[in-house]
Amino acid sequence: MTARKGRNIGFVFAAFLIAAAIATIVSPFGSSSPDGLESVAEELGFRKIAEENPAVWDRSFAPGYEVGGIRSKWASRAIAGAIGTIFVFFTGTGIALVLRKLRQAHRITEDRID
Amino acid sequence: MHIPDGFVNGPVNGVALAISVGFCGYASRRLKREIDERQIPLIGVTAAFIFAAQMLNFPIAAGTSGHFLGAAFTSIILGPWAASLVMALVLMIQALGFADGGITALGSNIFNMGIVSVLVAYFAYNWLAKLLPPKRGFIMLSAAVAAWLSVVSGASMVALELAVSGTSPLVVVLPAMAGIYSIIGVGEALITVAILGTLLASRRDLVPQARRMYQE
Repeated sequence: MTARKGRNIGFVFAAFLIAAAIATIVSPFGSSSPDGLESVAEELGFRKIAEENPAVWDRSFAPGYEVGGIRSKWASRAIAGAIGTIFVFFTGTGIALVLRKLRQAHRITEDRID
Repeated sequence: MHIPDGFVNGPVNGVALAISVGFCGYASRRLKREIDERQIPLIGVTAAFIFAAQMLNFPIAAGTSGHFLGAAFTSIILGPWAASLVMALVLMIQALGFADGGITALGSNIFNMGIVSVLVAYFAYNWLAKLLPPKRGFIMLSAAVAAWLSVVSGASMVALELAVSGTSPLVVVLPAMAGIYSIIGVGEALITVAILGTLLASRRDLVPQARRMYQE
């Protein structure tokens, strides 16, 4: 049981490092061409809707995965990717933890009723 | 496939948001019942991985790029309830923190990629993997088909929403979206198979339907 738990933590840590590496080191080398939807929008002439209208929510900390105020585009994307990956990891784990806690609370109440 | 503000109208986004909120609520209840200790960090790290992988665009034909969606991979590994919540979380953080996908289109984006893509992939994978002989190659084939379908079904939903919103007629936008995403879907299938293959080699206990490979 403990051995298995240890293995799980090691696996999760390794997977997290791979994710962080993709977001920071690999992603700046990705294609910057428009994606499928943008490309279709361009071809069919409705991409201008997005270009003419500013985003409704304008307080993103890194719009387009670029942190403002950093000269190097590469570093800007790497920092956005690192912060995003860490934040998603903790919120995802947090939601799972809360659901698990709710289940335990639920069980205790059920036991009392029984 | 992330819809920006303005492409899809208010009523369509509203309906999609209502369905998404309802579905995620139901998914939370189901996951609450099924979740075990071991899954907690796996859910977090899968979400982080999907976020990171979606940042990496690969070039496809004619000045267009695509990126890994991850709905199929997540639904295979975590099941449909956790997968929907993971996709919804990633989409929400992308919209709020990175201006990737419009905030007004969040409901549509969750509906397309977090519900339709997830469910299509989940059922396609489990149905195919059960139907086919329990061999590594067939498990990979099932995952590849599920991954391709997840992308094409999600993209078709985008086309439907664009058409209902009056942005572009269905007869034009559906073939265009399905066409380009059937190419991006091949990339999705290749990446899904690569990751699943790595998991089969290192942690096959995490891959549903793989257990039968060793029982028979």
